[in-house]
Amino acid sequence: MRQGAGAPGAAAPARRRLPLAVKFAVASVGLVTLVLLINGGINVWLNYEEAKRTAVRVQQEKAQAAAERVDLFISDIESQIGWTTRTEWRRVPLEQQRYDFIRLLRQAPAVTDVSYLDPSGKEQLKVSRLEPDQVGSGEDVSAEPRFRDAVAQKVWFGPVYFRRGSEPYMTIAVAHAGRHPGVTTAEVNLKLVWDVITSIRLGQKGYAFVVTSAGRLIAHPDLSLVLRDTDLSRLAQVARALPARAGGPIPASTSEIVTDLDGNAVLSAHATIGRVGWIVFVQSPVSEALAPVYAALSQTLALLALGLLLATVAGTFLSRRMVVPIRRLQEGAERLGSGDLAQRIAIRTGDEIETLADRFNQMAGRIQDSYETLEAKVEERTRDLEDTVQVQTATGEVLGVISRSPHDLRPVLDTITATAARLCEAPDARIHLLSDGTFRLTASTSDASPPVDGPGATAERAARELRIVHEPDPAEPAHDPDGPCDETVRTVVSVPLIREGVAVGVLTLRRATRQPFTRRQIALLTSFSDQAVIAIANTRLFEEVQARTAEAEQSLNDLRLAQDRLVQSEKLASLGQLTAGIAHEIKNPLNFVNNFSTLSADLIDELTEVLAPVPLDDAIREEIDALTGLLKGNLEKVVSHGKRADSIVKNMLLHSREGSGEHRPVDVNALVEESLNLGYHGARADKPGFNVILARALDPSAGQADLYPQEITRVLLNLISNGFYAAAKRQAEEGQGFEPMLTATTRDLGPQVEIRIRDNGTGIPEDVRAKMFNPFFTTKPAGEGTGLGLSLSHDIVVKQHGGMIDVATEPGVFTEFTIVLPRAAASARSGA
Amino acid sequence: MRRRDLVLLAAGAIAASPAAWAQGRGSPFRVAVLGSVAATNPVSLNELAWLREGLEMEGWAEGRDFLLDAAYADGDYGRFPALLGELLGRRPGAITVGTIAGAKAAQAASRTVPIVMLGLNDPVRTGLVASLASPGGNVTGLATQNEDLQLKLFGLMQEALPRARTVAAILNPENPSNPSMLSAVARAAAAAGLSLDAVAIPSPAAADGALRAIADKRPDVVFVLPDVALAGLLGRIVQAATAMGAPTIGTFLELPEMGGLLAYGFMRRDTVRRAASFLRRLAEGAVAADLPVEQPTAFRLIVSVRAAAGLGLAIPPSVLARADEVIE
Repeated sequence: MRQGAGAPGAAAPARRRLPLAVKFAVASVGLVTLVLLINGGINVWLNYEEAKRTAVRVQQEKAQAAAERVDLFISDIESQIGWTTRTEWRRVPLEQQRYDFIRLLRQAPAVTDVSYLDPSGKEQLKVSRLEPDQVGSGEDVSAEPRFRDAVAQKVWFGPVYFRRGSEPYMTIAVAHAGRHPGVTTAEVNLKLVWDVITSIRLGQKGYAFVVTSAGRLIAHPDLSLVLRDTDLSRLAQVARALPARAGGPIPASTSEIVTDLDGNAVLSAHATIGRVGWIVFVQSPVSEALAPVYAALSQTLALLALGLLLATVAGTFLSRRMVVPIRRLQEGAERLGSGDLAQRIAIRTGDEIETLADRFNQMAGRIQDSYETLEAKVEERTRDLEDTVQVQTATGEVLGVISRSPHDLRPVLDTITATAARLCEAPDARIHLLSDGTFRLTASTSDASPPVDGPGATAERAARELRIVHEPDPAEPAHDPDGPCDETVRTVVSVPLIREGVAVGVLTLRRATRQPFTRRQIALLTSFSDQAVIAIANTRLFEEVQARTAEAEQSLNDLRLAQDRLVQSEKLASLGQLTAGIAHEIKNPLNFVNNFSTLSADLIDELTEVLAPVPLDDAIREEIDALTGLLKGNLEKVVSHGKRADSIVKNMLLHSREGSGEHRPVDVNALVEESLNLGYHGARADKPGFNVILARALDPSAGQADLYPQEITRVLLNLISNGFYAAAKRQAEEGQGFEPMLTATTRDLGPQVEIRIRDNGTGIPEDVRAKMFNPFFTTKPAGEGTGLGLSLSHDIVVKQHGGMIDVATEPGVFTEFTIVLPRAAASARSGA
Repeated sequence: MRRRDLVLLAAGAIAASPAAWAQGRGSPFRVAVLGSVAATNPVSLNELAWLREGLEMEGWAEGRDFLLDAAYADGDYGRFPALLGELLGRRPGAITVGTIAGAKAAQAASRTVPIVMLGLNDPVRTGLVASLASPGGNVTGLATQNEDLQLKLFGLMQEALPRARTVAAILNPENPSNPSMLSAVARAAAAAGLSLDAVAIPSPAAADGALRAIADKRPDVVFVLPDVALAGLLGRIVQAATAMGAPTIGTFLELPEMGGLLAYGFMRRDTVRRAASFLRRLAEGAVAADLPVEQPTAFRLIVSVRAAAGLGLAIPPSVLARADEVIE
């Protein structure tokens, strides 16, 4: 609403609007103007036509008048000539005739020559202004038209001619009265028509002119035009007048607007003088001729302007009066639009605008009412929306926690209880989860120890009935005897966490006031319980997956170990066979070496006995004794080393010996104890200063195992002597502060038994570990080890007994060999 | 182009057109008046006065609309070129001339400045104009038609002085129209059985000698041919003729007033006044070549009964009847 009102208000200044007053004024003024213009236009047109008609009529009248005056000029001359045309004039004396002619010349200035032609056509008398008078010249002009036509027509007007090509002249011949008449002819200088023409006044600039029937100019105010021999037949108005003459009836007079010689627009009218065939034109400049028209026009324009002015004033005034209340209305509406709903528009014009203002006021009232309602609604909706957003956020939070800790249920449940408590405005929210058949409190918002230890009656009911229990249930106002057990708790709701049809837990909220939970809150709790179920399921699933993964990893490790062991065994087996083969081949030559060296020593003793009785020089004897002593010593070394080689060979041969000795059930602990004693004393025998702490951790339940006791003893001795060696080596490196120690451990593994020999010696470097079970590999100085000990031990444990030997070591800290032997190892093996 | 240039251009156009000059009235129209006789001669005085009259009748005012620069040759036509040089130096809009010699000198001096004749004899035959209707050159104005009138005048003389037998015809040989007129008159005289002596007065200085020569011949009548220079000498001619008892006849209408017997001719006053309309039209842009030469429309016969009585003559009634004016 507010927005709608605001938008046009904001747009208004951008787009320029024509105010209503202007529109109104323009409309009214325009209408009046239109009417005035049409009226004025028609008026002007009518006036113009009327004035033009009048002007034309006047012009035609002037033309007629001018023609009459020109005609009068001719008539005058004609009548002057008439004095000489009386019947008896022929008989008057010549001198009298001359006087008459002289008088004629005096009376008619335009006549330059006058002649009397007797009835036979001979000139009897001629009186001229320019020539000497002639009497009785007798010139025969009877054939000339001036005589012939004059006799025939009584009066004859000759064609206009021009003396010296300049001045217009015309012959007028008048026949005398009576039978056989003579003729008086007069030459008339038409230049004098100019006097007539110029005396015709036609306004300020109007003028008249005369042309012949051929269009030749006879008279014109500008005399030079006449004298210049001007042909006007090309002039439009003249040209139009001429054919009319040539053709049928002669139009008495016509008029039109044309251009004159100078190209000015003129109103032209003409009239003809019938008997001479001349045409008299009168022309007035259009501006002058139509001056009344222009006067009327300007009058009309003035009236129009006045009308326009009045219309403008009236229109402006009226529109202002109309617009003021409308503007007030507009201002009121604008204030309404800007939100001032309390505003009321006060207009008392008593017309529709007042009604409109009242309607506006009513509308404003209604808008105000509905606006208030609307605000409340908006508030409510906003609250709802906020709630929803909160719920969404909470749900999102819970989901976030679920996703963040898939393996840990606790944070999820904590979040759920905290959020539920916050959103449902119940300070006490708890989740009990089913564990070993009972519901245990898993998450709670109250830090203090729960007021009740168990889940509570409502929770148990909810878990049992698999539905939400709400107490007091607003739908069931009846008091529940099983109601809240705690006095401080007035309202409880329990939502079961149902998974696969079984309640795995209960979400319970408590309020200290008696205020039922709303439907929305319960719905929220339901969704929280669902999320809790999901989280529980997730966690379980996660744990299962982890367990399975661990199992799989374990299997894989076992498999790898077995594989390695297999590879090692095979390798060692083949090496053992090789070693045995070599030993077998070496044994015979070695026996020869040993036997013959022993024999040679005996032979040296025999040689000494043989030589003893023989008297010999002392020096020689001494030399012989020395030599035999050296030989004997050498032979003893040969014997000694031969025996060592023999023992190596024997050891080598042990590889090829399978199941050597007997196998029988042996007490493992006793075996270990015996080996320790043997090893310790052996070491003490080798190195008298040697001392070591022997620790024993013998499992009493180790029991017996079916073994080759000699072989296992060898193995243990081997490991023990290695341990002593490493410990001694470390002691040698670190000095007296170091306490060498060797631990022997047995452990019952059910079908197997485990023996561990651990020393705190130098440890085994990583690179050695990989190769230490290889035959002939040794780290001891040459002569101290054969490199076969561990190889042989591996052979015995793995191949002979089907057990397992492994080593765990940390260089500089400890080494621990572990032997695992099946209790029925030897029997199973021998059986196989 | 700038507005100022346009204005200058328009001003130039106006200046180039004489018509525009007339409308603009920037400066008065300067008229050079070339007089043939002395400035103090009545002929000159009248001429100038009538020209002023005519111009004022055209609505012009001297000083505002026109200026008259007059220069007089005092009958010595040889001075024309010098006078014309002086007049043309003032850049006149037109030159008025009273004599054919003056017109020819003006024509020789300028072919462009319009030359207005103040009543000249026979301009076509003397070669000043191509024809009356279309002058064709820079000469226009008014003719006298005197060439037509000499025979008429001779006839009137015969009628008025039936007993006259010897005629002394005075002519100005410097006037190109005079010889042909003289020959026409001589032919008429011969036809009528009269003796005719032609006396030439080429310059005022020659007047006395010529008049003495006439007096020696004692003619019955003195016939003065139309010439402005002779008109300037009319007083002396009439005086001399009267002294020898002979009447004087001519085309100068002033003649009877000065003691002459009879004059028949155009009204010089009207003609000179009429010349003003030529000046006006020229000032308005008309071209001289296109302005037709106008001839007089009226001729007057003036007879002096007083002179006749002084000479002991009687004027026949037919002449008196015909006279437009009779000086008693």
